[in-house]
Amino acid sequence: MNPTAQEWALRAAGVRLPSAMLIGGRPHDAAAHWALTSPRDGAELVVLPDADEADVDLAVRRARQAFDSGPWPTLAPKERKRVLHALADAVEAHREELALLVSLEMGKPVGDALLIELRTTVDTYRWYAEWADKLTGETPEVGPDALALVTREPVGVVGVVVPWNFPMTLAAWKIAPALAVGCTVVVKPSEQSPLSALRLAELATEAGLPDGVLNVVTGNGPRAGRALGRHPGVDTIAFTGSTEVGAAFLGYAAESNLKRVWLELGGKSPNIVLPDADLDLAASTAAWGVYFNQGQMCTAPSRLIVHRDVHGELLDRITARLASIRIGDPLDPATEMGPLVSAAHREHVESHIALAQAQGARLTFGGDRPDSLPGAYLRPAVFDDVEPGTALSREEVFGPVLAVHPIDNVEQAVAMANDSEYGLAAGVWTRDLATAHRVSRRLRAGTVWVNCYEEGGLSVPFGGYKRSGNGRDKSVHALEKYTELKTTWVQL
Amino acid sequence: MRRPLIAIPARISATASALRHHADMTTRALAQAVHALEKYTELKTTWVAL
Repeated sequence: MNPTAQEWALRAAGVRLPSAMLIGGRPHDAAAHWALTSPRDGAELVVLPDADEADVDLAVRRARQAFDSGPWPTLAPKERKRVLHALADAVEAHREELALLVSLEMGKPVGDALLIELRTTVDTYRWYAEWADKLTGETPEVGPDALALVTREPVGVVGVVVPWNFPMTLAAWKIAPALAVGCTVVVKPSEQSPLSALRLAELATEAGLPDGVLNVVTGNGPRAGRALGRHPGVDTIAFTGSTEVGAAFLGYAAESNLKRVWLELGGKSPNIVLPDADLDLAASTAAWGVYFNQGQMCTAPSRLIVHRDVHGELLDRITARLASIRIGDPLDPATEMGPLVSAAHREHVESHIALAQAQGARLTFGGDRPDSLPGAYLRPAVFDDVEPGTALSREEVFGPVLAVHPIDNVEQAVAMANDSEYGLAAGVWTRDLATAHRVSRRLRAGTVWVNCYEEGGLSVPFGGYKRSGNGRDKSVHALEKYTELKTTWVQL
Repeated sequence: MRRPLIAIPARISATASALRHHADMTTRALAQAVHALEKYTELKTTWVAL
């Protein structure tokens, strides 16, 4: 039986909040600290170590040692598989505790944390656990006098830098494949969501991961993140976050050891609705895309490109749905939309709303603060007739703000969809199969959803074109990021 | 007296053999180029709700 709001609140009052970094299998403190507050009510949760360059250096040296001399990279693949399954079991066994930590630290409704974030996290560790003993090399035919072996080897020490919007899932998308192939990892979670990462590292140790294989440093991006990005002992950075910080990591790599840098960055994803679409489903999905995770999604369908024939009807349905959602305490399982991650982020989103209004966009719904809620809450905002080229049509808000663009035909829809510096995801709604595929082919985006949004499993890759990044998370292709190809040529 | 019917299959056979050899080489080159192609392509996922 699922806990009630009252039971979640009681658990929140009693839950142990991890407060130490984990480096080399041991708790580690830092010289400086900061207080983590909850967006739920602005209350202080716990004081955490604010890692400096020396702390990051220690974590990398421990990871380096575990890679160069430790058992993990040379362990029998079936043993790595066993440990990763044990980690998945541990996460599953502690899923309610971890969902609570996620909800407290970044405000995600606890129901979503449990049913979406924790489910996908467990699935990810299990999926990549199974890959540990299924990787094979190649022996291309090169003639009678030679033998060529093409093998994949772990790339080494991986720095994982992940954001707060899906702190466990996005970390798992990088940690799980890296560990499966034998890499060692230093994780730098967002300073707004470190608790779940710290608890994960504790569980990993209990699951049998050798010391130094998974290390977690907490701190701010400009210091701890930068130190990880510039460290010569790190072979690869796997980053999810903003395009600006992703570009900074490319710079850190150029300034240090040319480490590989894999980036999953921002988006301004188009969601195209054509006149023959299932409008009920398109509307409910578009509305969900605005408020789910408080709109704090890199893939958020934040540009609704809708044919003028159905524009009014679709907008009415979206507005009706948004007006009915339950905004409130993320620890109430009935809550559909919680607070934004912080008061500062809410002000950032509100500044986008103000700019859109100043630039002539028509606010048709929301965008204000709900009465009588103490945290960083904000009602979803819908802007109609947004002029292409204005800030709201081009810039990622990372909040519950929808820009609506009416169009007259498919050509216009595709042109508008592709008129973006981003290329992370897109949606197409039509009952015509040929139109769906023709439009999908022309969209410059890493994922296209047809008659749905945010669907998918571990078997399909995820990542972006253009300024949305490079490389792919999930699927077998993610393994490529954490391995080097080696050619061994033997003359016979 | 030589009959062309014998020579023609021989020529065809030689040509076919060369074609097969070329095909083998092309296949090998393509297989070896797979990893190089990864650098010049984007992976796109299309997920269709049914």
